[in-house]
Amino acid sequence: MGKKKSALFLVLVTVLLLGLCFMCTTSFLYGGYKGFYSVPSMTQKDALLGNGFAEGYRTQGNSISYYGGGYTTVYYPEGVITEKEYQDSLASLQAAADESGKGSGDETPEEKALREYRDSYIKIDGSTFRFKAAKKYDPDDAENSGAVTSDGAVIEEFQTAFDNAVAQLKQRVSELDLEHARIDVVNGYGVQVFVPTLSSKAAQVSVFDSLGHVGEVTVSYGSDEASATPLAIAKDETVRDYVKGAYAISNAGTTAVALRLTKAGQKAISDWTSANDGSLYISVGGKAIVNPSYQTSDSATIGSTLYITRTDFTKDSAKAIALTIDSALNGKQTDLTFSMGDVYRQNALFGDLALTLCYAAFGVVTLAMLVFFFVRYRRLGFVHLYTFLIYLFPMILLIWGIPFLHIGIETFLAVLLGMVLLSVSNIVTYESARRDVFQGKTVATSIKNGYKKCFWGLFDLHIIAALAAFVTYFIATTQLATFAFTFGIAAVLSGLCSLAIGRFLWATMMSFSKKKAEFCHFKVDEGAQNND
Amino acid sequence: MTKLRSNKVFAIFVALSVAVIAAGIILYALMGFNYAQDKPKAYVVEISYGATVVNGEVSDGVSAEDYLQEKCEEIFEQQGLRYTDKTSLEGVSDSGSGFSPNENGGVRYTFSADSDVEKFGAAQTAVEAFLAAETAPAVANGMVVVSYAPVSNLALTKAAWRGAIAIAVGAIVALAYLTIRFGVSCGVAGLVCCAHDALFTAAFFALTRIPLFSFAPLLYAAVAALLSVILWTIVCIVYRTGKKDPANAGLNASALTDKALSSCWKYVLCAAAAVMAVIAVLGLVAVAGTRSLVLPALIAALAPVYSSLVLGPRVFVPLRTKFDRRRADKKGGYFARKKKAETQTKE
Repeated sequence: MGKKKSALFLVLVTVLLLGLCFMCTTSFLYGGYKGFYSVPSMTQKDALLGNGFAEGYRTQGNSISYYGGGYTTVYYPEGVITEKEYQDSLASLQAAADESGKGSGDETPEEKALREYRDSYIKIDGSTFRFKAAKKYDPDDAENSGAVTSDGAVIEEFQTAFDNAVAQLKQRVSELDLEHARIDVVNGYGVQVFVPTLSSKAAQVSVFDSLGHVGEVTVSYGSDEASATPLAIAKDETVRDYVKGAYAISNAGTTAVALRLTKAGQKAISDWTSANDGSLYISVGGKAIVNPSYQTSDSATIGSTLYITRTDFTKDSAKAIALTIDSALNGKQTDLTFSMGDVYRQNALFGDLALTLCYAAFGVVTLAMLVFFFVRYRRLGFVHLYTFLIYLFPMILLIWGIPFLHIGIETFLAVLLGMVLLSVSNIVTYESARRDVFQGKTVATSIKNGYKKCFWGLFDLHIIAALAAFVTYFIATTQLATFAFTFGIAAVLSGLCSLAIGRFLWATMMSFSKKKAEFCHFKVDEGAQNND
Repeated sequence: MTKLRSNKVFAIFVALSVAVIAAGIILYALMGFNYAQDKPKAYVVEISYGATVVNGEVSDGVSAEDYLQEKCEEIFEQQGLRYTDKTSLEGVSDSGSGFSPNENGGVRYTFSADSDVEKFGAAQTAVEAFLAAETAPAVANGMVVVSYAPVSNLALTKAAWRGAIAIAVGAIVALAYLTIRFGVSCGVAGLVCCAHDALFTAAFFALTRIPLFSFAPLLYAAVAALLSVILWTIVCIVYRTGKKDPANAGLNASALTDKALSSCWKYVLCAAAAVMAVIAVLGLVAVAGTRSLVLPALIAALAPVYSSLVLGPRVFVPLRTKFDRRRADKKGGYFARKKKAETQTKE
């Protein structure tokens, strides 16, 4: 390539890189309320890293998409309440009793209610919760059902139902495959769940809402939930003889909950939807979790899989709903119901400034790498700098563009390891060329030989890294999958940049230099210099 | 570098590896990993409050939230309780389109599981007494509720076993490629290095009881296995380049390996040092939370250096010599017989 063409090419590459750099790093507000957000600031969903600046911006009342952290709540089983809830209820009952009992000697209904409430919720050793005392545990008879006996011993049936419900919740949280999601048992009888910030706000609510549905699965149909007719289940049969399970499916941008039906289930639902308008209510623990609407005009024979779609379904929310139905059908059976406590947003696990400081760490590594290349190879360092930038910006765009990737510790580690791979590849090639120059060959021949000697070795190195990473990604889940996939694309980009783009840039940039060996800082004797 | 392949050095390294892996497996079977970073068992004190505290001030520039938290922390200290973690909580409720702030708030303090439970009761009473005596309206009317509870984490194991299978399959596929491109002996030696590094890293964590997050042993074992494949590939590349060099035509596998090691050890060390520098900077420049990830990750980066420079060549040389000899025997025997037969036919 001639000097003019080389200059034009370099200007174009520089302009492109500057544009990408602007897109990837700059966020600002304009026109008072509109904002331009950098690519990383739009990359959401991570519990570990928080963006301190975004957090500050958000607390001023602005809407911001990324601030790390997650949401937490506690699910309480029926018959167990917190001391706060007990005291609040007691205070309101006391107020009602005080109001009603003025001037009368006999016990009023309000006073009776207060006395019964006070007597029915007791404390047991080792727990700061209040438990409803009763003779038995029987969800079908809610009035007389309790969690403990009057002497504070936990009723065996309640304990079994609670253990099974916890197992169901654990299975769901585990199957959701959300990074850093966790589940804890609080005080022996509360289940605390932490879910990281998801990309969709509606999905976040849906996940929390559906996780807490435990109990029996029921299918009913009608115009509204209260008056819906339950599916007629034959004697000696259960709902599992009609619905086998559920799973979430995404295809062409549409996400659905798929219900696997038996032949009896297909027939029962087909019969109803072909004759009536209304909704089908799929409930878990007595509460409808999903309710697709049907009209006789659009009815068709229901196949072995019933796909339920909703406009607000995301991959996470559909998965949570499908898991709730599936685990209630096929997991440990329980008739317990949970009520959800207050929901809190929790800051990023490593603190609000974690993301900012990770960028600082990235800057330090980049600076150290560039200092090494510029000191050892002088102007050849620019070739590495351009190669590195051509690796980095597509990498950032890919992390932004691929929905399941986000900015986290694993992503940072993978991008930085990709940088190491790129740097090692460039060093190996430069050193190979340097050795040839020392042997008296011209710089142009040395570069050609250097790449020729190293090409297949470096090619194998990148292929091996990418292969191992992508295979790991296909099997692993959560953090490991994220790390593996990011490293896989980092290895591919590093290979392209070091083996193809780097060589081209070297030739282009070197064409401006009269003394080629000086450009690369390859110290050679006069004889070799003259050959240039 | 030849010294690294000497019997004495190799024996020391192997003894160390075997001891660490065996002890690690036993300790893992008995006690598992130390997942203290996940806080599997802990006591949690939660202080929740309403909008008055969240938005109020007790004096100029001192928010009611900060004041309340400071007072609570003073009470914990008086009771001899030291928290290991403090998390701010922001109350949210469903606004129809997602969770939105509802002006409630709270703070969660985590204490170690071996804390004296009676002290929590005393601390709760002290905080409630302080609240009853408090005159600042922002705190006094703040609907402050203090509760404490033991918390036990339910480990989610699915990611762990899926990760273990993923690493194994990923490494096998990479090694299969290595075998196709560089020969069976390189593949087998790479497999040994890979298995060793993953096991050594995991065993080291089990043995030293370094506090880890539950995802850490697998992630670090994966990093070690991946780095092991990459570093061993560097050795194999240099070996193959040396073998193709006409100047090395008469050298056997052992001499070629020594030559390859003496020219590639710098690359291997540089690559490992670069990885370790990345991890160290990521941990040290970043915040306290990530520092706990640094030391275990350095182990994961160090193990592959040993295996690619010491263990791998030691496994590779006898295998390669055997294959070379067999090939030479085959070639010699076949060609010798063929040549002899041809000569006899001509005669």
